Amino acid sequence: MSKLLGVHGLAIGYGRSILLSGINLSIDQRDWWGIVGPNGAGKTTLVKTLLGIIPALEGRIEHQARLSFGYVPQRGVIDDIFPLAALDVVVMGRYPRIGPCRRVTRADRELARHYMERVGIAHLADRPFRSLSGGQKQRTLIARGLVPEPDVLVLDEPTDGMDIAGEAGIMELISDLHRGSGLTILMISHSLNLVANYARELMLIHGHEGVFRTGPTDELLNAATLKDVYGLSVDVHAFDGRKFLFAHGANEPRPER
Amino acid sequence: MDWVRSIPVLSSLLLVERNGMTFLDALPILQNGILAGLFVALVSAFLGVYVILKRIVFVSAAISQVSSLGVACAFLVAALLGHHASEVKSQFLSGPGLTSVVFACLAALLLARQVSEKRITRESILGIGYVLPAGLTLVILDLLSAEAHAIEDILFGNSVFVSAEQLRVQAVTAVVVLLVHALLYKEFIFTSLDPETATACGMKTRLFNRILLLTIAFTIAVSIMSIGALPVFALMVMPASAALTLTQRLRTAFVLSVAFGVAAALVGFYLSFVFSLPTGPIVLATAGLFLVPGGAKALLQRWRLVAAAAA
Repeated sequence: MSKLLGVHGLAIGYGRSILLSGINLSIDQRDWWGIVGPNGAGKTTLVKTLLGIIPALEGRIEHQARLSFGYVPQRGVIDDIFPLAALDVVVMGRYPRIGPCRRVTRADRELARHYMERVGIAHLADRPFRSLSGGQKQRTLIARGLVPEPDVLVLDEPTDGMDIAGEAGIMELISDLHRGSGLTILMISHSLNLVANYARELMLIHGHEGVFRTGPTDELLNAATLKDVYGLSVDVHAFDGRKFLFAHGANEPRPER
Repeated sequence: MDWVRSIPVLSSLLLVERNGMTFLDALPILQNGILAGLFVALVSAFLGVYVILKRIVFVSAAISQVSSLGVACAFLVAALLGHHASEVKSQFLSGPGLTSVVFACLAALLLARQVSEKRITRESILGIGYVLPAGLTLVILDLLSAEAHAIEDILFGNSVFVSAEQLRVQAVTAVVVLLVHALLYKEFIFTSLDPETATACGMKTRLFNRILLLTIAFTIAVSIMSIGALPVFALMVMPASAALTLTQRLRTAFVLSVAFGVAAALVGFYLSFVFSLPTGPIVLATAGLFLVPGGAKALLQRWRLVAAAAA
């Protein structure tokens, strides 16, 4: 597996205020990274720094020549005031490849339709984006993230606010994409259960406590580490090949086994 | 003239008389003003779609005030150097026209900057950016009270009597701004809709945002000297708002907005002649009429929902 991205002594934050420093990280092709931590821990700040949306305050980020990212933001960032069809939103993913002063071609539209079909929303191409359900919007944004045919797909809370069926559908879709095309995945999630069952590698982050740990999910997702990061007692159980995490209050005694 | 008389509706519109002169007779006098108004309407209504979608209505209001301050400053500096207002006015492109554009563009670049909202909100900055230049402009006008009339002609626009030079500037502005937008349409839309994803995909989001704001600032600075700040603001906000309430397609919104803006300018100029009303306000009022279909559509949809719920 070839190394796509290396991070050395990175400090992240906004303005001059450092949230977390001393971050070292190496991301390889075909990796699936879960990024977890409490609210305000710096998960999105880290991802935005890796993507170049906000500048690194210290350290350096090295990546493979011509490494390309597909970014799937939280669906709420798309302002519903824009009167755009779902296909228009997906085609936008091609714009950086097309370049300024050049028109969108039929091939670009066909590619956008192909990825809409891939994520199961080909029939919604002409529907206004603002009229779609939460799950349909999320699939549209995933299709937009895929349409530049990136090396790394970065997802910020892809199942946030979804019901159990929507969540399962989105996670199966991402899993298929990862298996099928070997896409490298970076996924921020609040759901430890999702990350435990899909991500092979884990970034545990808590900026205010100066915590940044990386490693295989199976090793890192244990009661001791989670206690450090969340300040909670968390039980990790395995059943039928899947992992389940249960949290107790910080001072709550664990149930009798 | 006989061919006009032979066309029933056109003749009754064009040959309507006011103060012993028909609209057709007055056209040679009014044509620069009408053409300038059409150019302003065309480009302002187009840019207005971005102004509404990016939720920067008050950025455009603040830019127009800063631009007006630029005009007033040109006259103030000239007066301090001993020049008369009429001399400054005759050197329009190197004097008030230039300062107006420079001030507006600087304001746009400043307002394009991201600010931390922990101590002062963006709304507060816009409020200050609107009211402070407006106050300073009034102070300068008071200081130059002897020449105030000449300055006000430029500051608030004289929609009827627009000079050939101003008309040329207006036409070139419209062509250049629309050309820039034709070339960078994709970039402006993506970076306006989702700036973070556009940046993550490798687009120069800040650059495109600055170019977009500069085209808005440039248009405002030039246009307020043709028809005044209030009508320019109205043509930037109302046709686009009306268009966006009527369509689910962005390209249709641009087309409708331009059509509404141009129609408001044409009808406004005509009504201003027929009823001897001030041109700027009547253009503004006409633009407001185009909000009625969107409002009616929204009411109808709400009524249908209520009826469906009751059934």
